[in-house]
Amino acid sequence: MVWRKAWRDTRWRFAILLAVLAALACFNVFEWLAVQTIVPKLDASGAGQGGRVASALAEALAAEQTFRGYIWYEWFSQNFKTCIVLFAALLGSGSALSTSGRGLLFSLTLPVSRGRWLAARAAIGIAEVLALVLVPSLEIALLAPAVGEHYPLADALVHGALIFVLGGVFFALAMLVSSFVDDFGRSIVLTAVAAVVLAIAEAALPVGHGLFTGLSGGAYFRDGVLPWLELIGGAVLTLALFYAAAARLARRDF
Amino acid sequence: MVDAIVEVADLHKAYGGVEALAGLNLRVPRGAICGLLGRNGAGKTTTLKALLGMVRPTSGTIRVHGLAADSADASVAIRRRTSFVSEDRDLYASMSVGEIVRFTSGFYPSWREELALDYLRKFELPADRSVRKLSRGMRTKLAWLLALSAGTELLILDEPTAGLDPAATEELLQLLVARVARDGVTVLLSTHQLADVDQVADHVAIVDRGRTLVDSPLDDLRASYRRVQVVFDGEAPDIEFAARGAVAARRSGRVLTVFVSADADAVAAEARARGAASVEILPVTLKDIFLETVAEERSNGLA
Repeated sequence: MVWRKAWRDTRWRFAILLAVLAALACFNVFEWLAVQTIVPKLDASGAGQGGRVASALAEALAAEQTFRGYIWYEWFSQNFKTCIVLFAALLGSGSALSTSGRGLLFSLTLPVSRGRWLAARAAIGIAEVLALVLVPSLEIALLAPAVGEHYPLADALVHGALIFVLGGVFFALAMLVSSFVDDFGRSIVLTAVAAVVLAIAEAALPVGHGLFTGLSGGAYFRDGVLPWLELIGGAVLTLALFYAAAARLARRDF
Repeated sequence: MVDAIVEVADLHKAYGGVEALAGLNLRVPRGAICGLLGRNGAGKTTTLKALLGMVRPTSGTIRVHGLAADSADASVAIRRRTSFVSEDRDLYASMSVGEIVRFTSGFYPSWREELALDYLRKFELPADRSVRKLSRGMRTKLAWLLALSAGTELLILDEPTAGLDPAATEELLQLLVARVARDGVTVLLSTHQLADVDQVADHVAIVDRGRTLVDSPLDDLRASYRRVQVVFDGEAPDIEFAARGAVAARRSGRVLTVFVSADADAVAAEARARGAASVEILPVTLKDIFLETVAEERSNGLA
């Protein structure tokens, strides 16, 4: 029953987010028809000289010479990464006892431990994030022949796995924030602010590792190497955030 | 001593620096309808929430069904045997009436399906109507339905008749009394509606500023509390009564009115000895008891 409640609370939100991602993935694939005619005509001689922005432009131009590179850069490294951070935060926001905030006291009067409410919500949410990652990733591979290209299923799954594991951190972060504030709007804003701060900090401190670096999957695209440090760190961080959310919820007065 | 289903001893709860409960004691006998009375902010809702594990006490002990309510595991067991109607009728707005009834039934091993169907019919609650679209009165009835159908031994009701018309209030109170009589359910009823408590309760607790002022069977209160009206020939004197039951005294011209919690005869005798022209011992209502007790506590607090 608790699982059903967690699903009921988030199913419409999940369905809308899934539809948005599916549409965006489709758009990105068909956009290739225009991109493949424009990119070869661009003069890339000046790119790469003049700092970080120029390097990024050079990397983009280099990557987008092929469909595989285009999908990595435009979809996995840019659009999908940004969307999943935001969407995972959207799915994780709202009280674990009752996502909308309505019926919160009613949940508390039922003979169910707060830990069980949170576990059900976390499990359903993680499954939803997995679906949000898998469906568009597979869609890319399936739609590629429609634009006369091939996209390896293995690449789609590996990028999807990276985005799932590291995007899950933002879902867990939203759940932790929601264990402090019941209001859905405040929770999503606070989580988004935390994500932006993290992204800026990672960009400002070029250590070569980090959540957003791992989410981009650049190392896998370029060298076929998985970012194990980010993957393990992300999984541990997700578990730690869930634990903190459960501890906070258990101690909280309502 | 009668077996108690709720036992609260020296309960303290502070929010930041504000003390919501300041050593509250409460004992609800099994099978009783206990009215919990108090002004706004007296600590009633905090007490009820503490019983259900929604707030953690700063100190003190709470036992419900003999289990420690501040233990997370025991709290689940307590809630399996306890139903609650919250003051704001906070139900799942996205469910329909039928859905929330089915959903709730799954949590209670003692759920009484025949009662739920009966109440659905009695309260004229449309099973397919969204909870969001119910009026406050209908939501109140739905909350009652869920609480009464759970088949639990203890019902905790927070302002359960607020916002209901007199007919609906009477209907629900009658149902409550019938349920107690038939199944031996215990009820803890927190309310500002003194008439409701007067009508159905057999035990009363009055709290103020987080402390218990009165915790007693209602019949004992009615038997012991009296108003002694004393008339003098001239201006009523300011008398410090030696009798232990004198709670408060008010002078108005020739009349001295003394509110007593026990031993009214001793107060009357003392008044006669001070030269009273006439002394009359009058019964009091629960409202009188509540107002005088709380007023006395406030004046003591200010003194």
